[in-house]
Amino acid sequence: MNTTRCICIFLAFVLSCGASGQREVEYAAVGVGRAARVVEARGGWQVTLEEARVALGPVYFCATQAASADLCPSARAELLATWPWDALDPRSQHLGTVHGVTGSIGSAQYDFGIVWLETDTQPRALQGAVDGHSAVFRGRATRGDRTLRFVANIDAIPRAQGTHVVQGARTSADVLDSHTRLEVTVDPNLWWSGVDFDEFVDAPADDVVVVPADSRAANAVLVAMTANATPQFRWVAP
Amino acid sequence: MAARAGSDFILERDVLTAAPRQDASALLATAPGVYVSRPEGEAVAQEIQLRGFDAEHGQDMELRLGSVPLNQPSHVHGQGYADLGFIIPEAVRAVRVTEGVYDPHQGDFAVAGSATYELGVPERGYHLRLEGGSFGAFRLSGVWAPSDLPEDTFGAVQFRRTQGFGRNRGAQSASGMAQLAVDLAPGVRVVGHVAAHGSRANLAGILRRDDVEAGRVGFYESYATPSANMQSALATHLQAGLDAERKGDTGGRTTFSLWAQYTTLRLRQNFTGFLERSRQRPEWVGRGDLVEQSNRDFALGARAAQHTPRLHVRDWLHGRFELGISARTDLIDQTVNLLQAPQNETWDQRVDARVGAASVGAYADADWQVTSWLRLRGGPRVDALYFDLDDRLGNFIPSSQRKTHLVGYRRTALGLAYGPRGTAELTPFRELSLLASYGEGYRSPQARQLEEGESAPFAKVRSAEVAVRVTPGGPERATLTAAAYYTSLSSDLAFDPTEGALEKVGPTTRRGVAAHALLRPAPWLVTSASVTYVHATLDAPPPATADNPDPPYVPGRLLPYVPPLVARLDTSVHHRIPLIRGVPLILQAGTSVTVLSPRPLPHGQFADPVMLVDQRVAFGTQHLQLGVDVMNAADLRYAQNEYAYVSWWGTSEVPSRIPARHFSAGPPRTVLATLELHL
Repeated sequence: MNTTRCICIFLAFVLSCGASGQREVEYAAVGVGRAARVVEARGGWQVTLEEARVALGPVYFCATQAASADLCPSARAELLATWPWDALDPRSQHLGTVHGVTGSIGSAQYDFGIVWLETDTQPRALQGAVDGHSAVFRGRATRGDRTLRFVANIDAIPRAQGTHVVQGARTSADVLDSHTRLEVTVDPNLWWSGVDFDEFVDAPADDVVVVPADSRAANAVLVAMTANATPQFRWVAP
Repeated sequence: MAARAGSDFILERDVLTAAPRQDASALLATAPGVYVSRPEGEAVAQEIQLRGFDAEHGQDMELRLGSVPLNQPSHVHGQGYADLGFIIPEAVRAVRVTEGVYDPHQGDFAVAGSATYELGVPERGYHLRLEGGSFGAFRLSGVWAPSDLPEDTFGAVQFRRTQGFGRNRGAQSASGMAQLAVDLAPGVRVVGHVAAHGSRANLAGILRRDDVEAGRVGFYESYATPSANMQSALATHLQAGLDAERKGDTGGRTTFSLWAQYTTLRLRQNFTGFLERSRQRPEWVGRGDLVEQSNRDFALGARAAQHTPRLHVRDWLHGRFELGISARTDLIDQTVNLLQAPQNETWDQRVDARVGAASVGAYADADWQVTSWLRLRGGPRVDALYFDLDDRLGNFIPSSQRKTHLVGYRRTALGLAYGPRGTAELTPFRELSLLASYGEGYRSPQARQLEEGESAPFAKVRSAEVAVRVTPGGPERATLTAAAYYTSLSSDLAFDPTEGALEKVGPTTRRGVAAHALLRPAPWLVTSASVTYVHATLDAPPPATADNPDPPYVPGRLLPYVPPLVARLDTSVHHRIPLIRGVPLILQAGTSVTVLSPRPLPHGQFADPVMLVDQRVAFGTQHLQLGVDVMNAADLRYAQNEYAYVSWWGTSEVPSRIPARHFSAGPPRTVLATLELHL
């Protein structure tokens, strides 16, 4: 057996030369948030977030630029780890490790901690979801002397089994090796700019408004997260 | 039979039986540069790698049984699919392996080369062989070859059964072959043969290497889901052939062959786990990617050739010509469906097609001696192929679109392929030959890839070789061959596990060297040893697709899955020791060693090298022999094949979509006790 092993090792050294196309790469992913600020929302409300925790993932980076799950049977890179991160912290927060192969990237498909896999009969939250949700917010909305304190648990649920919440966000990169870093940027303040708090104006003054999942406000945040102010992906020097 | 190139090998029975062989396909492994495996079980055709070509199930290697071509055009599981499992090894007299395309007789699929099995039983009498041992393996073979009949007249039968070396690997098969040679008149000989075969096997399938390394599934196991455990294959094969030869009074010869063949394959495999979505009903998803492929092919064919008498133009210039034609027609029905285990409910239809294919080929072959030291052989060959395709699922209408037509796409196409083949052989001394060969061959396209009226795009291969052959003491005692070769292929194919079929990868080139020694230093000792090294590269980026619009490409990129180095040793001692009362004791011992260098894989990875040792020991009398066959004697854990693709078997919280290494396990050490009766 030793002879066999020696021959095998010798062959491995002598003959394992030559390029074989794409190479595997591995690099870190970091999340960068935006500090809380006052944003102008619908209906003259001014919104200030005090907490914004988000779960992003899994994320698949595809060669195609098309927004179609059918055109990404094989990804160029992926970030499978999902855990909550503070989207109001502008410092880099470690999100996990991106695994992939070299080559150009044209689009991204991803979820926010809630997946509906091919084999699942219904959507489910990943272990890294924010208390079982895609995002958890706390803040206040002010118009004149009226202030509403609110909390919201947002669930971004894929529309169909075997799909992602975001099927094809255009992004562009050419990853040549592992000497890079993925930077994911979100601005949770903007996600609330489309909300009209008139929906909750009748709430008692001292109560904290719990934004219902089926409310127009929750839907507006969801639309912003998945369509109007989606996470931005950049590959930067580490 | 004259050699057509330096790498034209005739493997005789003493070499073929030197070491244990699991089936007839394993006989090919003795040829230089050939590696044969059965990663998809006993009912699916063997996979062949030859001189840097991953010939898969036959796409790059023309396989024949006598005059009958075995490659099936437009097969649903792979172009040129040819299962050698129906051939009973005991009935094989010799195998001729021509590496390269230098002979005008070589037809469709002779890209890396061709192999022809010659039937016959030189050891006349009645033979029975029983094998049994590891993993519930049992094999019974019987051959009757009456001593008063010529050696190409015989009958043979075999039954095989095994529980397999791991979960879901049980298999059974039965084969029968018979051949009758009759001399109808002086110079007129007719040989007819029939063969029938059926085989069913369960398949363990492919495993992710990361799942095995993490202990989530055993090396020889399969995934514990119904969709994985319902993998199976059923193959049947029926063929009949008639060869007639008439020798003329002046030295000419006329040959005529007629054959018919009916083959079926129903194959259920799950390569990718749970990733597929129904195209008919897109809301159906995640029911298991158990892909059922079905192929039925009824083929009729004929060959005819006229050999002129030897023509003497001058004392130093003489030779002969041969003109020949070949024709075949195939009627093929094929389907691909997705099944939901365990009830095998169909949840998607991918292919439902009927293919009518026909081909006509013609060639001229010259064999001329020009002076006593130069011999020229070769000539042109031209082939025409016709396709008539009824693609019943063509012009598919997605459920999201308004129906404006009925589904279906019927189309026809025709293509021509032609090219020269030839060899010049210099023989400055009786025991030394220098050979230079060049040839152009082709592979026909898969009919379903053709468009209406398209000039069928053949994959064109150009092959060149220079070789030196030395026969010290005569070719019966020793033949030493060294060759350097170059092969370019205009459009190569590679197996895509996600489709379960072959996909185009672009043009490729192989440059290699090979050395072979066949030694018979004593009547009781035979040794065949070979080493082949090849540098196989992709010459251009793979074709762009919608999901991969800019395929990465590095010039000089190695072809994946092809081992650069293949070495093989077969050696056997077959000795008779006189005992008391003159009854000789027969002793036989044989060993084969196969070495594969690390195979390049996608994404800069290399598979582990492989070194397999098989051994045979037998002793007994002329009428009764007992023995032991050991395959993979070192009990090496190895992968018969490795792939890189995306799969998901539910072994992680979310699926990875980065191509991962997958493999099919090679058999562990297998020990078989053998008993042979000869009457």
